[in-house]
Amino acid sequence: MTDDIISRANEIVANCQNLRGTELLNAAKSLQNLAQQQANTGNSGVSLQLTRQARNKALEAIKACQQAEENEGIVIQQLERTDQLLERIAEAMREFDDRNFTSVFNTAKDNQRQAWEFYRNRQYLPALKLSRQAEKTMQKLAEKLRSGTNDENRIQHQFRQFEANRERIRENLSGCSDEQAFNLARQAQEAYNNAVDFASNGENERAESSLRLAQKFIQEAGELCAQSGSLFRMLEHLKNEAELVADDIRASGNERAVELYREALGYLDKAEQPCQENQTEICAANVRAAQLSLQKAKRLAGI
Amino acid sequence: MFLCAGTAICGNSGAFGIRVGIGYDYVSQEYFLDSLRLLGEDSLVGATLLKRDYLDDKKAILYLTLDNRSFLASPREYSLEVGWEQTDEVYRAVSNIDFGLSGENYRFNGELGFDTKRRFSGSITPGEELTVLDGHLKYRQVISQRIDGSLRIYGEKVWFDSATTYVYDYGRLGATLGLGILTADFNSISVNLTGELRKVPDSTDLDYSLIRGSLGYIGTFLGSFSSGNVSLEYRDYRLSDDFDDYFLTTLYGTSDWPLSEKYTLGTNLSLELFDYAVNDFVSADYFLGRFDLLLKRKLGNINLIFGPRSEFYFVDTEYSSDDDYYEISASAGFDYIGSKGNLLLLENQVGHRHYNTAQIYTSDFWFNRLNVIGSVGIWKNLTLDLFFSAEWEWHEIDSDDNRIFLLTTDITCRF
Repeated sequence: MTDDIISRANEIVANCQNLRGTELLNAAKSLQNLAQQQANTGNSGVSLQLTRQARNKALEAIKACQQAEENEGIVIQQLERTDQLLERIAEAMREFDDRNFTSVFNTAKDNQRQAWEFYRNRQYLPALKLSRQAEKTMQKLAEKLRSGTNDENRIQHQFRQFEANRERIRENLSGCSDEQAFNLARQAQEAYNNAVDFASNGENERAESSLRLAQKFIQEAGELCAQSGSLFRMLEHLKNEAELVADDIRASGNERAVELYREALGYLDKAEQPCQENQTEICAANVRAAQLSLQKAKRLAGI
Repeated sequence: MFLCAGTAICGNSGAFGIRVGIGYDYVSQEYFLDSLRLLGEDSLVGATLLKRDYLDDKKAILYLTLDNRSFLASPREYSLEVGWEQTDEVYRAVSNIDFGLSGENYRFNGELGFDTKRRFSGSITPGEELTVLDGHLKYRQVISQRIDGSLRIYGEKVWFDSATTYVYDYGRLGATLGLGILTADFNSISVNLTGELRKVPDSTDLDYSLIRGSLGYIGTFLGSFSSGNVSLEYRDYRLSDDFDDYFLTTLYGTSDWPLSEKYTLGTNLSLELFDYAVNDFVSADYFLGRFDLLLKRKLGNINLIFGPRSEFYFVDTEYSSDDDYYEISASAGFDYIGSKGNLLLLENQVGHRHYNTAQIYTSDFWFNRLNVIGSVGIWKNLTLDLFFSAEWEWHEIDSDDNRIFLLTTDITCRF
């Protein structure tokens, strides 16, 4: 039994080249020799005690070499895991044509090759540590590539969203001659062009910022046109209503109602030209004033 | 430690690439030998500092690359790389070919690597001079919109110039059948089955066959972004009475739980269970578990990371003292990943390992583990890469102290 253990210890210690292990193994061998000498001279009690000591020393020699993390099965799994990760990252870098991290990738790959060499020489501790370091680097690159992909996807989504909005708003813009809306639409297009340039240079943050600006401009332009269209419709509606209620207000005999009615007509007149010329603010102010005056006149006239 | 520095002329990258640079690799372990304690009072030697340098090389590197993807948008792609690395005593020649062929529903790719290392000055140590030929072929077929299948065949042949009982030539050949499933939520599930054979011409005792099944997942899980892999492996050595044969079960998982726009809670779990067919003085069944809980704070391109880490080890042995231990540590670090390839990862871990019973060859200890990975563009295509890892162990008994250092630095230029 002790000879078997010393024989295995011999193999393991020679492999791990740990001097603690070597010293312990030498001590085990010396004790075992002494045990045999004692056995030969018939001192079986002393021999048994010595061989037990030899066995313990040999076991300690093995333990001095064998840490849990130096298990060959674990080391080769680690090496293979890192290899697969390197393979996947290399493919992803090709796919995204991302050469920014080529240098650190190459160094990690070199370290992994060195880790394999340690493994082949049965030096498991440095093999494991180098390979884990290469794995850690690859995991960070994977995170970066993943977040880069997310950035790309998010920006592409924002581009699509902007283009869809622009199409939708284009209908309003075509029938809209509001100068301010036109300027905003032009600014939106410029911001969009900038975003395209930034995105093609990989400047994702600036691309997103430009896209946000473009989105804001196109939205405002659309709102202005929509507002201007609705104001014009409101003006027409108020004019029709004023015509319809004119006789009833005069017939009511309420002077204040008549006065307000005249004011309303005045506002409607004033609104006409700015509304036609898409001077939205003046148009909106006069339409609103005409609406209020007309409502008040109707109330006073009991309509 | 000495860090090499140098300059190179840099230009634009293209289909033909040149990578040239210098570097320094250093891997070393330091520990003490207390003969009095280990061997008894008869020993005449006291505590001695011992140092083992696995690697201590200043090197120059030159790699030439041809990559058709740079100038040709084609379903047929390839790249060739040949490299030369040299220290003042050793040289290494490396070459690598990889190719890919893609169709609408399939992709076929492969890689073949050749690596040889020779010493031209100084004395050769066993295992130092070697030649490696390795490679793989992979075919992936899209089965449906959400499912693809793959077959990967891989092999490796290693020749040592000075093989010994402990350093031996070997060859491995294996195949993996894989199935990838994309769920409706775009989560990814993978199932793999691997079979492998290893042949060692000089020692049939070391031949083995293995079979491994694994299940992996990447995607969202209860509001977190998670990835995990569980595998079961059986390795069968060509030894009588199932000696050294084992089942290995592993589980690795990571999850990131968003707490707010800036804070994320990260968890890492790692479990390894070795179950030997014959539990003896060399091959003892054991369980190793690790669990980390890390708080991550995002500051632009920087992630600050801190939190506790733990490790547990239980061994089932009848032959020697109980090695069971637990380890608790506090970890702090940061990641910086810039858009132009600059990267800096730093982590420092301070903790304590406690053995459940008194040990003969080691004792409870405090430790500090430092890990730095950096890549910085210095000028145009000139880059400095640095991988540094150091561990210090301060044991209750000073002569058990241990230190390990790993350093890899390269200054390279691509043009």
